[in-house]
Amino acid sequence: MLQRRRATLAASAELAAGGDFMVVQTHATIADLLATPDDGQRHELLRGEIIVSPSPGFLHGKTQGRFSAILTNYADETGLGVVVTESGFRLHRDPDTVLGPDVAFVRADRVPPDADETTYLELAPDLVVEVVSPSNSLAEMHDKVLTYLEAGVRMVLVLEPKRRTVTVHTPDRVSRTLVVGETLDGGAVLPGFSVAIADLFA
Amino acid sequence: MSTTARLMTADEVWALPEDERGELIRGEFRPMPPIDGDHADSTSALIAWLYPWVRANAPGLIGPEIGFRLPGMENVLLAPDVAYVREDRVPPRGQRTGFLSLAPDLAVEVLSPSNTASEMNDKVLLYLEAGTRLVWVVDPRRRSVAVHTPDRLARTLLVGDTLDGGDVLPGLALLVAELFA
Repeated sequence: MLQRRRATLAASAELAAGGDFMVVQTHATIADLLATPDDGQRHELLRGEIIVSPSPGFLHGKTQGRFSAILTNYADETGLGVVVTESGFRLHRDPDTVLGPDVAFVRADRVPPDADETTYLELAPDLVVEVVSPSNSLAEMHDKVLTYLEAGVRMVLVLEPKRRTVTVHTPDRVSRTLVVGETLDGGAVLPGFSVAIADLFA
Repeated sequence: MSTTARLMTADEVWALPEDERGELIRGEFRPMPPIDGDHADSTSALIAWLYPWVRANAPGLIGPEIGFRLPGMENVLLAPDVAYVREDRVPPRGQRTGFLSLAPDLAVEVLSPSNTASEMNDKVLLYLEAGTRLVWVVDPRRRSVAVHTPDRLARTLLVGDTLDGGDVLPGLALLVAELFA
């Protein structure tokens, strides 16, 4: 365990310097993920590998917070679903995959009534939002997007605060990149949801 | 995402010794580090496949790491892993010295673990904004190819799919699996 903690710390230093996500344990299961001590970093499980991401920087958090607020307003007004930030979702068993997207939306009727703080929902969220950090490699982000879509997520939004773009990924594996001046439409996943790209990064 | 102390121009990059050159994004110098085996494999497979096809079907310049000064952009100099330019857009053979001041018709980037999402998305948009008609982003680890077009749509192809050349290389059909065989 001590050795793994060291690996985690070394991983954060590398990530801060702009490296890849760091795999700190392979052949891991959900039990290993749950046994990982809370060190303020995000731990996820991707096909049996525990990956760690450092605390996001200011712009990441601002973008995540803003999107989450806009989406929560929508969810409250429509009553259509629940918005969570960084909650783990169990997307696959053996090898285990548990990912905690920056923001996720789950339709109200899909949330089990007894879901509490010890639960990872074993379902694919309807919508997943990931904000790109300077440390995210494109390969890792691609991998996550494909993993979400394969698990049944209906729409994945990748927000790029520096370039102020939103890339909309759908299960047909066709994505569209929206820029300032355009509007993000929720389609069938978030009916009636519409927000100007400029407003997401204001 | 290192930022150098001062911004450079494309001319200053050209003046560097060949093995010290790199890319420029809005004046920020990005050295081009040596690549790893997976990256080299994908690049080689693609060029080996494309070169004879282009010679026979769509004459033009095709090759690795050609320097392009993107038109209409201040100090943007990119060198895609593989690029193709139609014959009538480049100077004749023997006169292709210096960086080309145009956008390639096709740009291919092969992902290394060190390529950040921000940097690569920025590059794709720069190519498309400069007039490149087709950008392929090859991911050797996920064995996928993302096909980007100027409408800012991207289609991700996996093993089992076929990569076509769109209107840039009409008639081209390459099994994605062959890229990673």
